[in-house]
Amino acid sequence: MNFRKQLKAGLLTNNPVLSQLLGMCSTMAITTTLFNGIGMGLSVTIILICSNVVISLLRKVIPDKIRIAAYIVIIAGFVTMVDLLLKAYVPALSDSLGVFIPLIVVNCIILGRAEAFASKNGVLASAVDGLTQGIGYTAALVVMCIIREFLGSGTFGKGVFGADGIRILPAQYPALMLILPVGGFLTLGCLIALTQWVNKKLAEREAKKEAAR
Amino acid sequence: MKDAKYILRLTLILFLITAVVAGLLGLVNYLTEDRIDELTRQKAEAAMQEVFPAGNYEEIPAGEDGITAAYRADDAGYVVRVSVNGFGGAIDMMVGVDNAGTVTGVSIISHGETASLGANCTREDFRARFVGTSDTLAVSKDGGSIDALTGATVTSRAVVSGVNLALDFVKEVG
Amino acid sequence: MNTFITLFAISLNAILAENFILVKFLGICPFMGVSKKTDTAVGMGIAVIFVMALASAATWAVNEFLLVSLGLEYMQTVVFILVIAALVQFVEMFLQKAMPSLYQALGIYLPLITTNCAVLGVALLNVQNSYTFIEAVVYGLTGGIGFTLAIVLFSSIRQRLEDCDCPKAFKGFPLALIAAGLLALSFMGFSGFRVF
Repeated sequence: MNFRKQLKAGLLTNNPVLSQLLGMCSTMAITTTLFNGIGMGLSVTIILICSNVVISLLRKVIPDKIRIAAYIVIIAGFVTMVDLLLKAYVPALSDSLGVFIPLIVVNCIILGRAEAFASKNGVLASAVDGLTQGIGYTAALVVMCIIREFLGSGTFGKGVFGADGIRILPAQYPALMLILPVGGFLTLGCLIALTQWVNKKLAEREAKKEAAR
Repeated sequence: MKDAKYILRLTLILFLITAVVAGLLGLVNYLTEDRIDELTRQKAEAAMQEVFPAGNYEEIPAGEDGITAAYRADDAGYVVRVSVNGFGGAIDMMVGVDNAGTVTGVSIISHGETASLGANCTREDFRARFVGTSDTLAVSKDGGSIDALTGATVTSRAVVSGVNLALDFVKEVG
Repeated sequence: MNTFITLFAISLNAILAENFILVKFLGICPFMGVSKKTDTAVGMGIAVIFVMALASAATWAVNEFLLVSLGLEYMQTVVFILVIAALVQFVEMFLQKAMPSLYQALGIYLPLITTNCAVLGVALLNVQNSYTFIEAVVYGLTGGIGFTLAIVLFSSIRQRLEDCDCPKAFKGFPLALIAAGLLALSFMGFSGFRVF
């Protein structure tokens, strides 16, 4: 099983947010505190695994013509279930993510993986794909959260370590702009640039290895 | 003929999938419904106890714009639930007012304000700024006595307008 | 409150102060995807205005008369996305038959709109804000106008970005995001702007 390869793809070379540029709405909108990022990442990972498994199971039953509609219904079902479960058992998270939980339905990552992977691969591979892509998404969110929270409010882990998190910068220094919409665009732009740079270096190194051989 | 059969098959499959999804959702909803209702009720109750501690809350007709519910608390005061427009959507809040028309407490039940800015309206030191006042309020920027939250004037104005609504309501009723 | 003032306030908010893309982060995918040229951006914008207004009306009616009366509010997300998908399909077929020239121009954008979160977002926000029918339609329409405004402005910035000299890693997408960030910054100026 090439789990490691898939994990590397999910985290870096084929990261859903940073390389495939999918699901950017939620990435920018909710990454203001670490709590939001982890919660959203886990919710999406769970939904991604479930929908990948079910779609992979049904891939031979669903006719080609109506596949998108069928996928959307399945995904919407899982999203609503997660929404209801969060409301019942983790109300704090459901309060702070608000409308972005139901909006996971139109998060392109899930439909994208259904179409690009689960509809062509077996159940186990699809589950692993859901997990690794989910981890990649969560990692991107967490990095965004840490940067924005640190620069924007000067704290770390708001909501995870107590209501106010751990204060690193004194309250008067942080640039509030970073947790406003502007900060979302700027942080994501820089992160994507970094990913492109790292991926290029990796590709160059691979090429050199090949040449040396 | 083959075409019609094919379309029928497509519809049937899609219908089946939708039906299964709907069934499962019904089940999950059935399992979580009571808990969600209970949580909502507990949250409202806790907010009422916070803004005006009392043993018994009796619901009284609210009616007015923005006021979503009102309760008579032990004949000693009122708890008014208000919904106002903040920066990121509705702010749902509870205001406690005693019989003399003085604010005893403010509690924010839910809001969609920006984290670290408008979301600071849930902080105790901000909410405490309202306690003990009885006149119509305004933020200091508008010539009033309430200091607005840093970088969140819109949110502060919204909360102030909510408290004013509650005060007016109590004046009318009491 | 006076109905007209309420509607005016909703419109102003939806277009400027709470712009769907730049402030609420809804509809980023098409915003980044089809903003390379101004004329495609205009096409997409018009298609979105059309679908958002129709979707607001349709989902409002479905929610009010079907879901709420049957006590099935928890099915909102599933039903709304189905209604939107069906609506988009229907608009596509209608345009193809009735206005082929418009279909030629907008056709390719329509299927993309089903997965545009601004459309599902407006349907959900209408319910959350408990808008009346008229308010919901106005919110959808002006939300679409706000979307068009942002995407058209952005596309003209982006055309200039194509030839600029910048670090290689920033070329293309990252630079576009940063430009969008600056646009969002300028829209923040509207945030104090409110009609109560």
